[in-house]
Amino acid sequence: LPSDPVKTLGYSLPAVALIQAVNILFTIPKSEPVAKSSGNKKKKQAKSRVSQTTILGLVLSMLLTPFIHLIYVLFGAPVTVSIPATFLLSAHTALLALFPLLCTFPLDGVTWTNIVALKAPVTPAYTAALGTIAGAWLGAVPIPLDWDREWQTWPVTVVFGAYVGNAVGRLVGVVISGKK
Amino acid sequence: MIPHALIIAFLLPLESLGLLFFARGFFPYKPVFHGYAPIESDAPPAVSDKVIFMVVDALRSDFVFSNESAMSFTQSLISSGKALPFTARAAPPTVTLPRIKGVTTGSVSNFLDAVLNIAESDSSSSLVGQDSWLIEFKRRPVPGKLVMFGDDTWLKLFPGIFDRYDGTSSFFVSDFTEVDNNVTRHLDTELKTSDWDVMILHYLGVDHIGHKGGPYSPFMPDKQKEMDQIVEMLYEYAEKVQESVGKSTLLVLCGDHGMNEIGNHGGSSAGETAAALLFASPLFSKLGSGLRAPLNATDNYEYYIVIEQVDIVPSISGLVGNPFPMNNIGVFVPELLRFWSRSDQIKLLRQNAGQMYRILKEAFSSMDIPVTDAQALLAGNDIDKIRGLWDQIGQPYFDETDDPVETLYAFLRLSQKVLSRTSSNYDIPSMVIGLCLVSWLSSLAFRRALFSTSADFVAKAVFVVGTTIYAISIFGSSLVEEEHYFWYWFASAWLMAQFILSARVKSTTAGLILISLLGVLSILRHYHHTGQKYAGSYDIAQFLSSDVAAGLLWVLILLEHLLIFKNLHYYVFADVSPLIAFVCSFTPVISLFSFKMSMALEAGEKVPPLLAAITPTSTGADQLLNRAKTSFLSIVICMVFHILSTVWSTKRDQFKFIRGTFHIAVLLLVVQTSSVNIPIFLLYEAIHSLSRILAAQYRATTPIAIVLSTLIWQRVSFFAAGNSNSLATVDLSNAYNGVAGYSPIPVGILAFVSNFAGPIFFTLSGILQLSIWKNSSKSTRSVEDIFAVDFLSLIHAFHAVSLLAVMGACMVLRSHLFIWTVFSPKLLYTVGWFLLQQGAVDTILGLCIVVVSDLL
Repeated sequence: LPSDPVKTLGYSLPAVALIQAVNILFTIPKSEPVAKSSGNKKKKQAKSRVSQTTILGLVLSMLLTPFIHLIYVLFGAPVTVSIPATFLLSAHTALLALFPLLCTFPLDGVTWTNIVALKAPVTPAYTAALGTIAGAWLGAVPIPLDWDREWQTWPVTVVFGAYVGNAVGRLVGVVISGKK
Repeated sequence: MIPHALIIAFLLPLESLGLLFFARGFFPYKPVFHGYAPIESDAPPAVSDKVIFMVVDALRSDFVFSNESAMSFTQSLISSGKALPFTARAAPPTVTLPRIKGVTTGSVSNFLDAVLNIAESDSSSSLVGQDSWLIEFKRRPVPGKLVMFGDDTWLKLFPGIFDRYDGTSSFFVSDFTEVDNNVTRHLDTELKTSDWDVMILHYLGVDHIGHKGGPYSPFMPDKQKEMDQIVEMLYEYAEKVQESVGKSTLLVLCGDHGMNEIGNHGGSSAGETAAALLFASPLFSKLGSGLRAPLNATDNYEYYIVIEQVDIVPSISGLVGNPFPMNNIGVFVPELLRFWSRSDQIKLLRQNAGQMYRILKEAFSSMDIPVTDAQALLAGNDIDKIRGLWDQIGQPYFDETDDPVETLYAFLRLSQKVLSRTSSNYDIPSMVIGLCLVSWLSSLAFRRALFSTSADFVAKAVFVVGTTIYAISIFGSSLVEEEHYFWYWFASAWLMAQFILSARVKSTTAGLILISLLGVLSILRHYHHTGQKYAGSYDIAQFLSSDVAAGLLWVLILLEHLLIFKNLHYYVFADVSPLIAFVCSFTPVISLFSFKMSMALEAGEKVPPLLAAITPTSTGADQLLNRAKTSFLSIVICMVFHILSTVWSTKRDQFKFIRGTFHIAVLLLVVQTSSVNIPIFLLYEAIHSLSRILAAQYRATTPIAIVLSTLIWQRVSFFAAGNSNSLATVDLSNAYNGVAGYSPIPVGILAFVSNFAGPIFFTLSGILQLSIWKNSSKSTRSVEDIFAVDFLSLIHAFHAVSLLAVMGACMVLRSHLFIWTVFSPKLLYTVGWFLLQQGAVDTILGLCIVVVSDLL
């Protein structure tokens, strides 16, 4: 990753998308109470709806990548240089944070305002998204240090932080929602 | 309000006292030998009779040696073998006063000299009673005659030693020609009289050009040519004297320090420490053929052989046959040894070694232990090695050993290394007293900030977390160098936290404003790339100061002026008749604009011809002085008018007075800002306007949130304007606006205002927002109460804790490699923030505005 971030991030993108999609396909029926209670007849229908949602979510999160790129720039990402790297970082962030949210939460203003306001119900997808954001944000910390390591280049630490944050967030989410 | 203000009035002086104790222990005067070196009975014969010591301030190595230099005659001296070139590494702090001490006494300076260099009037920096190669001339049986022309720092360091002199003040940095003509005009008569033994010339033009326009300023080649001609004149004089009288003259050309990529100095980067050094004399052609000159430009500024700057001292002393100064830790330059026979070479180096051994004995008690096994010692640590080598040098048949010169150099170089390391010893008890006092007081202040102020849980939580992380970050040297990243990062976090809150109360307006603020922040962080790691990488300021963008820059400057005009017109002169209002608000703005314009022209910046045509073309120092005075005068008149109109107006309006004062103050801040930074005020104004809307309309705003934002924007604006925690970025180019000569108080105030323009802006903006908040929230608290209780407590607590953290870092890391290059400058900056920004501006000025606004 440090030697050529753009290449690594680019090649791993489809794989991450696949893993996230599979993950969502398996977790949604469990976490959606609607799907459970709707009985055997509708089970098949529900399943096809879930896969539709997943594809829709994937497309939407990819479409929102430029928006995430803009947010990264607002938070201090380079504007004129390393554009491909930042863009791919945004794509990864979209897959990690946005994609599960889009699939598990209804698309309406109130829900998403609640998501921003930290008032949405605690699910693994939600905590994973928060973890991704917090991880990416903390990942920027080591960049200015004078250790002169290869991995201190943009956006290596931020990618690392996002993935670690995602994992920690998911774990916390599973534990909390499991307790309930 | 009054009890709160009283508590601050109690805490502030006590904290300053603690700081004083700490500084006394941390910056001790270095113990130096007083008295003079003993006369050597068996010294090798002198090679030179006269010395011309020509210092060109900030003469970086590449200014003379690289193929981009315009100093062709000097280069021809090198290639024909009449001069020996070196890169002399200057020890930080790379500012003039400590560097002159270095090249005359041969000792390593202590950090306090850097401060004294700025507080010029201090007389404790004088070198009376300290040995130097200048004094050694005076100690000859027939005292030598010394003359000096140039930077008056020399006169301060060596009072009464010069037979003839003419000093120039070194701080009037906008003058490029007068300072140097003032030196050169003496040369004709002095070279004719020729009765002196030492002539010192100190040219300041290169340094001034660097401060104004950087190392590649369009003025630089001409100035280099001018310096080159002076070298030519002096060298021809040396040849003439050699032929006619038979006296040999040594010409030393050197820079006291270099400069970095933006023309500043003070720190320890490669460019700042690489000074040019050249020994020239007609005698040198005897030594052998010349070296290739010019050389290709290099990134590390290392041309030819790299030596330590203090090595100049024993070299001059040796060449003129004087004893080496007592405190000298310089090593005689090997390339100059060739003038003597082998036995004289050894004698000379022995003299150098003996003199350095005296210092070693003073510094290390282990030097007195008799040596039993020299071979074993040579394998030990540095001190042991020195003892072993000294033992070898003392052996009776040392001169007949294989390579005595090599052994002597091994001893000298190692001793130099060890001695330049141990240049400071701390007064630990005094530091501990200061630390204890400040930690007690800052914990009081912090507790008060949390529990005695009005309520806002989230803002206080962010404040506590932020202050804690900041205090911890100070213990990392690179986090100090790159402090701006912390503030950009923390600012975005605070805006994000507010954004989440705005989503909670479902306020779209507030959300949009906060996103816009994030946008402004992201422009600010790219305005100047400061710090160490990415300093000098392409940023908005560089773009705006390039010739292509001159039009854009001046359009933005004009916009800022229009904005000031509008604000004055609407908010200060609103009650008078339209014509008078127009004239009154137009006059200060146009005088400000013409001052900034002529300043830019004077500095050689590119100004769009259309604009340059409308300002009167006659420039010059006097003109500039008058325009600056006009600007200041018009600001004073505005303020007087503002106070009177508030007094006379029938309706009492506290808010209106604060608002008008704020807009007049912006005028003053822009006067003290260099042209490339004026557009940054548009961004400040944008932040101010957006925050004002939040304060007025957004019900989730609290005084605590406003104060926290103020604190963050103060820091962000400080770094965005190009400042850093290195002394190199102290900008003195606006310190002499309207001041004819050096006088510490006005120059100090002007320098402070120009470097802290952003923080001062946001102090006033914060006070204004508090009064807006009071009006719109219909709070029963008075503005004075909000100011004294919330604003002062929080700001004071933050500064007290950061002071404590910096003092703690300096205490814990006192043997750290970067203590003098990173942590000590940080301590100085923190003192500036604590005493001047927090003490003078936030507390005293803020209190004045708030109290006066209530009285009127």
